[in-house]
This record gives sequence, C-alpha cells and structure tokens, in this order.
Amino acid sequence: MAFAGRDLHPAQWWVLMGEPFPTLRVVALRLFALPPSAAGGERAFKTAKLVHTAVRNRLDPAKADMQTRIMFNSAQLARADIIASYGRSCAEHMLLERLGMAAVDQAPAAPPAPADGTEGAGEEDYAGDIEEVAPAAFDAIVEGVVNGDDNE
Amino acid sequence: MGGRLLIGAAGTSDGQVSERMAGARTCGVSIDGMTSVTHKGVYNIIVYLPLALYLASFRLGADRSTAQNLLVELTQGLQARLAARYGGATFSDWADPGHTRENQLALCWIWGLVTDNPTPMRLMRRLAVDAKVCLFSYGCAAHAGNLVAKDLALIEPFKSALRDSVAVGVFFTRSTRAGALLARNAQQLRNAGAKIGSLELYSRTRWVGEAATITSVLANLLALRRTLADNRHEPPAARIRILPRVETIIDSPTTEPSLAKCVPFLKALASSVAVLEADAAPLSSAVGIFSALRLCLDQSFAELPVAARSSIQGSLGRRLSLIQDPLLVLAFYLDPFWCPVRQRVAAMQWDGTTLPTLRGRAVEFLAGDDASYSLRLSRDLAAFFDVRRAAPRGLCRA
Repeated sequence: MAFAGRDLHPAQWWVLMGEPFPTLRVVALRLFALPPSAAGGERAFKTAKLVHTAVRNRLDPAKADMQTRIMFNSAQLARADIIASYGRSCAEHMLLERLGMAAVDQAPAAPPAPADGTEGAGEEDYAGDIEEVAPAAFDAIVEGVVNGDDNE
Repeated sequence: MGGRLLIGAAGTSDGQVSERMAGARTCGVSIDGMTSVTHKGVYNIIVYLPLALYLASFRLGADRSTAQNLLVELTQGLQARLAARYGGATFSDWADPGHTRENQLALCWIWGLVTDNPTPMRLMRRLAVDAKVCLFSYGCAAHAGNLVAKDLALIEPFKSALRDSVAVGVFFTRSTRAGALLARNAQQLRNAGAKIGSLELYSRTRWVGEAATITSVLANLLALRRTLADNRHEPPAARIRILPRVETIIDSPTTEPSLAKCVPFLKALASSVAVLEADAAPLSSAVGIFSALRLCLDQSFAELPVAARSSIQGSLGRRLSLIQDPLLVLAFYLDPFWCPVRQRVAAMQWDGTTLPTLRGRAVEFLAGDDASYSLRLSRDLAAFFDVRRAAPRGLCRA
C-alpha cells in the first residue's frame, strides 16, 4: 500500500488508509483538524473592517460583532468541503523538488490564494508628493518603510 | 440591518455554526487582536474544524491586555458559545484523573490553541494549557515565517536589495509626475511584449511581501531606466527632480544582479507563508516547510553567499523554536507528504533538540502515565514508519 495519495490532505489520507494503525489514526485525525496558523482570525478581521467602517464608526460593538459573524460564517459555511478539495501546493512540491525528492502522485495543485486577512503587498498608502523631499528626509522615509512595525 | 431582523439572522447563522461544530471530532481555536476603526482593541475567537468559523469577539475595555485577562475573556467567550455542546460541564472536565488517558484525549474537544507571538499571548497560551482549556498550544507559523523575512532584512544581500527597492518604490509611487512617466513607459514596453507589472510596496506588517517589492522593481528596471533617460531629455524647467540616490540605484549596473540573487529565496519564503495561511493547511506544514527550507539552503539557492545561507538557517531555527510544540513535530511525522524528508531532517538540531526527540516527547505527552496506551501508540508509529521503509526509495506510492 505504502503512501499512495500523498497529495491528499493528511486527514483524508488517514481516513482512507489509516486503518492498520488504529491508535495512531485517532491522534492523527485530531491533529490534522488543527491549523498551522492563525490566519482565520486575520481573515475575520478583514470582514470586521467591512462592517465597522469609518463611515459607520458609531455602530454598536455588539451589532458589529453580530454582522461580522453573519458575513464571515455564511461565506465559510457555503464553501465546499475544504478537506476533500485540498491539494498540495506548488510551493511544497517545489521545496521537495529542490531537495531532489519530488515524488508526486498527482499534478501539483494551483497555489493557494493569499489569505485576505493579512494585508497583501502593495496595499500601503503613501500620501503626498515626494519630489520636494530632501535626500535626508527621503532616506528616513525609506528606513521607516523597511523598519516598520515588527509585528512580534 | 438592525433590531429584531439582525438578532434573528444572527441566531440562524449561530445555529448553523453550532450544528457544524457538534459534528466535529475536535477543533482548534485561535485568538487574535486588532485596533478597530474607533481605535479600540478588539479580539476575536475563531474555531477551526478545520473550516474557520467566527465564534465571538470581545473588548477588554478598561482592563489591561494581560495574559490573565485574555484567558478570562477567552474562556467566557468559548463557554457562552459552547454551552450547548458541553451542557453544564466545564472545559477542564476532560482532564478528570478518573478517566484513562485515552478517554481524556477523546473527551478533550479543543486540542490546540494558536495565537501570534506577543508576550501576553504567549503567556496566555501557557495559562490556557495549565487551566486545561486545551490540550496544547502553539504559535502561528505564518507569523513565524514573516519574522524570518524580517530577519532577512538585516542580512546581506537582502538588506541592500530591500533598501534599494523600497527607495525606488517609494519615490515612484509617491511622486505623481514620475509615477505617471513610469506608467507610460511601462505601458509602451508592455505593448512591445515585455512583461512588466506595476511597482509594489509591501505592507509593514507583512514582511514576506519584500519578495513582491524586489521582484516588481526588478521587472520594472527597463521602464525605470527609460524613464530616467526621458526625463534627462526634457527641458530643465519641465524636468522631474529625481533624487540622486534613486538615480544611482536605477543606473547602477550592479542593481539587477544584486536584486536577482535575492528573489528565488524570498519567493520561496513568501509562497511558503501563503501555504501556511491557506484554509485547510495541515498542521504538519509548519515543521515540514521550515525543515525543507532549512535543508534547501544546504544544497540549493547557490546564488546566495554561504554566510547568508547559514544566517537564514539560524533564523529559521530560532523562529520555529519559538512557536513549536512537540505535537507539531508528531504531525509532521504523521503526514505522508513529508515522508521523503524525514530521514534528512533527523539529525537537524532545532533549539538544541532533534525532531525524533521531540516526536518521542509528543508520544510521552499523549500517553501520560498510561503504559498500555503508550505501547500501542509506539507500536502503531513503528508500523507506520515500516510502511515507509518498505516503499521504493524516494517514491512513496503503491
């Protein structure tokens, strides 16, 4: 049997092929229900920003919370089974290829869409015209961008 | 929408969420904070089945953002929404010493708590595990990836490449006339078949965006040089005052190779973080990606100097050590996708410990004092690895 279906979500692999390892299977299925990142929270904040905007800044927090829950959860619940539709990303396949270990069962899946919750590149707003800025001030602006919030 | 209509719609939506949660074996929970439009701190609680569902939000108000306060709000938020599932029971009931360890694990519904890495969050994670709110806790791997990118900004050649790219990007996105002239030149080159996108600047909270900034400047170099040349041919009165630093960067023959050598690794890192942020990304990807990146730096990315590669390896090790829990390592070993890498990472040290040691600790933690359960777990694990050994070399399929 070996590891056919390596491109499956590991949770699905353990459902389909984990029968010979009953004790480990229970643990594996529980571990693979967990996310490696808190990006879901960032995505929820993005929805919250659509609800609680500068124009609607007097919105009662409880109402804002309810509206965010409705918006976010409705979209999530309408999605197809995310485990069944999961495919290993190009990025992971490319890492294995670089290591000379590219043994694939299926064609690599399309790269995942960037998480909308975290701000994407190019979203920074820069107001004002810079032609009149002195070189020293310009250097300070560049350093400000490079050494911005560290998000630790 | 407001009033009764809103309450009714929220009730329906919450009912559907509860229904979905009731059918799940287990879940993960994340807690994250942001500053709202009214400059107030707001935290949200998300439950992962692994489908992410928004459970509740809270504000600390006059309370300080300490680990204890965050834990109180987290447990209250969870208790309020999960009362239907738990009945009158509390979260810590699963840890009742009367249960066998296997039963404890089966009764524990919240296995993992994940947060980003500010100190109160880290402390809160530890307190939550001590209070038996969850089985274990760990840091957000995507944040760790971003922090690796932040470390890169201090290492040559990434340091110079980033500063040069940001200088060019800031100037041409903030100067209206220079930006317009560049856009015109870029469009002309695009019409002639060149692949040129727009200049991009990364967001300050998303360090892996460095890759997009550097790549966009590299792709725009031809248009940027044409823009400088066009500007020099304008009459002095109409000429745009381009800062000497920006001119030097664009004109220098070393700019292109120095930017180009940074791009492959930055792109690999950025796409790895995108994988970690994706919905349904498995837990094993955290250790898998960090390990694979670290291994790749030994034999790949030859365009980078050796010193830079070993600094990045150090950074990857440090950042993963901050977030990792032995159970993340066990998840890595249980994922068939990463089976070709296992042997190669076995000797690698993570914060002074090897991955097989951490895997052993995870099994010990899961089994607790239950010797029989420990034996069965170890036996299954050995059988699972034997399947791997029986498989053809480098090709894990039937």
